[in-house]
Amino acid sequence: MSVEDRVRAATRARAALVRDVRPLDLPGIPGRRLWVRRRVAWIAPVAAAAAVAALAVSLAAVRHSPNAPTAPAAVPAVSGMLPEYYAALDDPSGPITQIVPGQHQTPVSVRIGDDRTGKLIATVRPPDGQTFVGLTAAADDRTFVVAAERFPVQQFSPSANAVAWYLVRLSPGSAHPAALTRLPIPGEPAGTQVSAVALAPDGSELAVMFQQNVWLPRTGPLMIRLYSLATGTPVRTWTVDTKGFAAGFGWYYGRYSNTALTWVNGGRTLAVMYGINTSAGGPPLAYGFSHVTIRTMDARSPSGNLLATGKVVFRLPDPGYCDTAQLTTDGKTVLCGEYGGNSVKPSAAYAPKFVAYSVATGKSRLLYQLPGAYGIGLADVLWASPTGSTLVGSVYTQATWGRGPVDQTAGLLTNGTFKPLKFPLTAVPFAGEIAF
Amino acid sequence: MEPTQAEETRQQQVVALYQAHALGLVKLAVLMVGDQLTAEDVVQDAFLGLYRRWSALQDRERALSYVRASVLNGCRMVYRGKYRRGPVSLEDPGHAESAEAIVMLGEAHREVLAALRQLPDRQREAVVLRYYLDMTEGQAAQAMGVSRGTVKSSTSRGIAALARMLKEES
Repeated sequence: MSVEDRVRAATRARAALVRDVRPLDLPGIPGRRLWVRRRVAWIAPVAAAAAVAALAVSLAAVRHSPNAPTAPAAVPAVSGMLPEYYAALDDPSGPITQIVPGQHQTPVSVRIGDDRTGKLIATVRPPDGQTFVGLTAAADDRTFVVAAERFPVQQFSPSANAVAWYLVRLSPGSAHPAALTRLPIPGEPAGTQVSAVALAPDGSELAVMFQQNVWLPRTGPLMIRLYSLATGTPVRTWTVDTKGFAAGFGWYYGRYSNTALTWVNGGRTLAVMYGINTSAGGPPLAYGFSHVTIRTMDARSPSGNLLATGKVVFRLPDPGYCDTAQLTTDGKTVLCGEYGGNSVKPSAAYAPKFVAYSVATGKSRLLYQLPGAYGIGLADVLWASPTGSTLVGSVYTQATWGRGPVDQTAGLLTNGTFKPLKFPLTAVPFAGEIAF
Repeated sequence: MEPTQAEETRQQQVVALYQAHALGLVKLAVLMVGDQLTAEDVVQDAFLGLYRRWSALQDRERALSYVRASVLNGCRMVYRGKYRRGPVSLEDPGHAESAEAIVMLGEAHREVLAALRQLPDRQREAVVLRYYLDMTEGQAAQAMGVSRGTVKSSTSRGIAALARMLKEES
């Protein structure tokens, strides 16, 4: 790693630790307390919010100046809690398939955009012979790790899909707004398939979930490994025998989950999410993902048995189906995108919904349900604010299972309102296809 | 006494600017001075200065440039021991940082930050603006109030010095 890259990594890691600053004390406004908190709701009086809005127009040029520090924009009318930049997988030949992996006609690119302006900042194409399959973001709003596999992807043949890891670093406003650098992290262990990825908030370590022989009837152990980004060295490894069942999420959809592994508690704790899917050889969505379990563990715990490390903090109550779930970074809430519909028992009575579960009590609270009734409905959690008061999700519906047009929408969900977001992508992103 | 309408508007505008940019500026200042409390003081003072000069500010869209320059200047004062809120130990960044920061940063990052703080003011500013904020030479020159050539040479010397220090460390 060059000195310049070391400076970038160290300064951004240090800066990422600054999360709050005290309120501004100005003469003449005693008692004013307007905390500045990244990725947390703006808790401002209505009058102050109105003043902010009024100022937005006059400050627009300043706010979007390329040399502006990584601070929240002055007036996020709706998306104020979102990080400013995202990276998303995009298949120029059409939507990234949601059900069956390995059907890309062209290599998948990574598109970098500004979610506040809708502006596309850069398109990063994979190196020759590779296609991007997963991505995850650090907390600095500038650093992403993306994974690439051999193109075309060898379906059902995990050991043939050598994973290569890359760093994408943003420099918005510069001549080269996104730089792709190969990381020294090795490919997946022989015979395994990557399920999930999570970059530490300070960008120093990458957590990867693997499982052996996920496409075979007798699936091997699940493994979580931390790698140093600087050296590529495995730092710690935890394993668990899943009794022959495939666990995790990402492998099933042909791209890596970036919600099944998350860093919480300021980057000190790793939350590991897995479900037991009994239908590896059967029709998609016929069963499974019904026993979603979340364990948390100290990221500094020594290598060993996953079950002996940390503890189960949440198990999805029966009956329940989480297509994607995410533990909020305050550790108090599990956000679940639920699905319904299957090919065994066709129905037209499903509607995707987002549900919040209290980790302390297990009680659920409906956040939003898409109006209507569908043959199949999926909901994915793509990003969540630290307390879960806001999330970005996407929904997928089809009136009749397997027939007719599908409808996909991504949106910002807050206070029961789902406000559609538009991304300059070929298709609406699903979990694992976008990172903020 | 109740503030006038103009006074209230000025307060609201400065507070709005603070809400939008204080976090980013504190992050920048932390990299310069080493600890968050001092960094917050520096940023508070910069905004207080902006508030006092708001009426005289010809071009309000340059408010951020103004306040960023004030922050950089405040950080220089800290290093030179002239900051009015008392001296801060800069010799060992470990003393100035929180326990959380020390634990979370990791040794490799701490070495870089410690080396960064040993650079002369101008080199440190140039390196941080160029490689933390990804500013162009022109943008960094504007923020530092120097020429592009000065930014170029300061960056180059700073990186060379860091390379020497980090090599010696390892």
